[in-house]
Amino acid sequence: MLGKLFQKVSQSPTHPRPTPAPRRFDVAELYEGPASLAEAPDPRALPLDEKLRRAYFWIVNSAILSPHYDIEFHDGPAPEFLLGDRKARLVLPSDQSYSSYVLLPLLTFATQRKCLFIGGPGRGKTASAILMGVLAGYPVREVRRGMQRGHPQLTVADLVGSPLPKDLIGADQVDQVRIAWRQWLSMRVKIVDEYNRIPTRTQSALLTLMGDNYVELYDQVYECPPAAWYLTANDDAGGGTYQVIEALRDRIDVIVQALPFNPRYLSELLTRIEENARPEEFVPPEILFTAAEIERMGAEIRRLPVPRPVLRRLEHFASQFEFSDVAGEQFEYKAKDTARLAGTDWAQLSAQDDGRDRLKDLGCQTVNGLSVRNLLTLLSYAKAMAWFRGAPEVTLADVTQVLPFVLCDKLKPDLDAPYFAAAERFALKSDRIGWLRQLFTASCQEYDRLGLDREDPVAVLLEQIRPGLEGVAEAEVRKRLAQIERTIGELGRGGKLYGTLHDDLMVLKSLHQRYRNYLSWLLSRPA
Amino acid sequence: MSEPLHPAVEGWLRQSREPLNAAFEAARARWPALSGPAALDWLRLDVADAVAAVAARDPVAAPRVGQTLYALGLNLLGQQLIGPEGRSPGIPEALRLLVRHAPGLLAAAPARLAGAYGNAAHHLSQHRGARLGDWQTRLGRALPLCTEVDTALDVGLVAAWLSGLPQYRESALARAARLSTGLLAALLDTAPGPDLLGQLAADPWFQPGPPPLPLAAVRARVGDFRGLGGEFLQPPVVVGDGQTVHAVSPGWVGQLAADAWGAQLIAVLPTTLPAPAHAVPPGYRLTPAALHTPDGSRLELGRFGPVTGIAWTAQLLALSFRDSHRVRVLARRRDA
Repeated sequence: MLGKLFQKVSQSPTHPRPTPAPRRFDVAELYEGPASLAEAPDPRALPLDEKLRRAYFWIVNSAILSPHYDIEFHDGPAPEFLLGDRKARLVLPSDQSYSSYVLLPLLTFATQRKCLFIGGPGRGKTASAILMGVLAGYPVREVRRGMQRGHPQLTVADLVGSPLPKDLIGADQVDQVRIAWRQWLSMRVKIVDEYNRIPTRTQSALLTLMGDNYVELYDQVYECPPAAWYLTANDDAGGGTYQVIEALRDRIDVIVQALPFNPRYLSELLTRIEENARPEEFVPPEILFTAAEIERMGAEIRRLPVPRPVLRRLEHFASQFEFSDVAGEQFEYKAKDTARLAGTDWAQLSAQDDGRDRLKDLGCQTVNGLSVRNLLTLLSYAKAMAWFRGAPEVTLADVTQVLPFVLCDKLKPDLDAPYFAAAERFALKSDRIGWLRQLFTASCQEYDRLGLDREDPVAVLLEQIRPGLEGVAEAEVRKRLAQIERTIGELGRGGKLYGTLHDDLMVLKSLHQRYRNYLSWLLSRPA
Repeated sequence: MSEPLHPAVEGWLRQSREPLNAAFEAARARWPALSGPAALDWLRLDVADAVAAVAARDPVAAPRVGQTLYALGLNLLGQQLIGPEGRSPGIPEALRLLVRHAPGLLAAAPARLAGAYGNAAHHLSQHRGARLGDWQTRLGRALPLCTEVDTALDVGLVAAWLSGLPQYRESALARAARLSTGLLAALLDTAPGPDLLGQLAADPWFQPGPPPLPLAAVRARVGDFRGLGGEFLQPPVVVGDGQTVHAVSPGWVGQLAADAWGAQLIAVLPTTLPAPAHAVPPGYRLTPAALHTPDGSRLELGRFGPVTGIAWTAQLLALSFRDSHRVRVLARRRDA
């Protein structure tokens, strides 16, 4: 009876799509409707995206009381309200929108990646992570037992396992020592609670596990199955017992913040106290996923296409941040990472960089650029987002919505940059999600202003070489070489160097090299 | 003083007290507004009648029928479809039809039959222009002749089509083909004829009994002003491509279905539709004053302002007017 509190799963499609006209009519549909006592449809017959949406709606309606719809989608005009002295903007989305605190962990579950929950104590971070374990079909007790709790005394052996004492004494070779591997290593959902309380040495073992999905002890290797990872931390700004090593932080794909509880939902909490019920103990069976289903979800997500115009905007965005004109003398080394590796003082470096409009140049808002791993993660989550919404391909809205959560710990703001000095942008110093949204929006606006969808000479040159060089005649190669040189001249006419231009010039240089080498080969062939 | 309970009902209630209470608690957890007195009324009247009727034929099946109808009733009360404030009062009557006319079939498949008939009654009550009472009357004649559950289900669907849901004509005809001539005649309230089904299939305007109407006769008026419970804020315009006819008004598009048994506008998603036209099919002639049809009859026009659109299929012709929210539907003979 108690479970009835939590057992209701949406039976209607959670994100219905318009059906094309003309409609076909079958009189048998008169026998379907609210008076049916038939069993609910077999959840195994549901498309997996629909099943995951049902899981999402069950969680937001019954488990995690999270009325924060911060992932907004629109399919038309949306009412907007400007409230308070600072004219805070409240938007009522015109399409199905979601709560990041629930959705991002679910997308992590579907893509088998790594998610960090942050937020103050008692805000449901651990409970949310446990729910993800239950969705993978594990009993609550097993999920709790499998959860690793970070504490200052946590050793590598505590984390991964220990050698059998008998073998330690009797073995002649190290590889004869058998290891009692910890049970949680085999789970498809791995939870590490308060990971910033783990000692640095143990963090290194965790890094191998998270990064390479295996663990090694006494020359013995344990290969873990693919898994979704959930880590929790009260504070992501270094407030844990130990500083989290940079490489470990970089392995985390998305960060979601537990937003404050809305006291309007206090009565729901009261019911849980009175019924002595926890939602994770009543997850309806129809939203549990088998290992095969999780694997199939991942495959379906990976297959979803990213259209070229969407990818192009992402390229444009990613190009803006790494470039630093003063960090290197050689053209290829004009990167913030060059200065970082050399230990150059950032304040000194940015003070030198005075050739550009530091307010307009988005690259001036960050102290670093994006890594390949960041971009791979972003594309994976954008695909997952589109798949979750039942879309046939990734849209710009999908990228816009997942980008802040993927990059919020990766793209670091330069809080001393002129952009943040304006009083109306003060809140962006603490609101990374809001800042990254604005950053991507500004990049897309600049992309539109430049008309890159209509005219993109570098893209034209890249398209030319895409089919390969085989059979291209000498005259054509010379024509293309001239075209590249002409394009470089035209692009450089503006006088100022920006990140996007720097990347384009690097591409043109590499194309020039390919054609030049090919031409040499052509000329060296016997007539 | 309430009537004494039928012994079968009394026995069932005594044995099932705990599961019945548990079912009520479960339903109330799902629908907190579920009314205890309303659930008791459902149990005392409708469920008790069903248990008694079934027990007279099949005492073993009676508890299962009672349990099923009780669960169904809680479900419907919880959704506020039945009960004092119920939005679909036709559902209980549909279940009573089964109890009165087909208790043996109800005993065989209570969930299937009660659910299907309840849903059909609900849908009929939701369609403007559909005749729930007509459906019940047709079933009252046909159900006693049914000997199989599947037949009773086919009968319910064919009766629904004949009660004002012409959009289901094709699939209902396929169901009608499975019925005996006697059953079909009972549904149509006519004497069994040699080729009743063939006539129904051949001519959508065929009705046994009444003489054929002239082509200019208005067979149906569909749609209405939204303020009067209809679909349109502004008078609609009909458009067509020879296969389908749509009525279009700002914010609403409906596909027209009509035959001798009724007419419906079914909301569809806006799509690319042909432009309104004033052309008439071969054999027809349109003047500002009248529409002249191939059989020599004429429909007087002008009362509702100029014609804003004419659209037709092989079976029907529809007209819309500047000053009317209602679309007029005329029959077209196949040989017209």
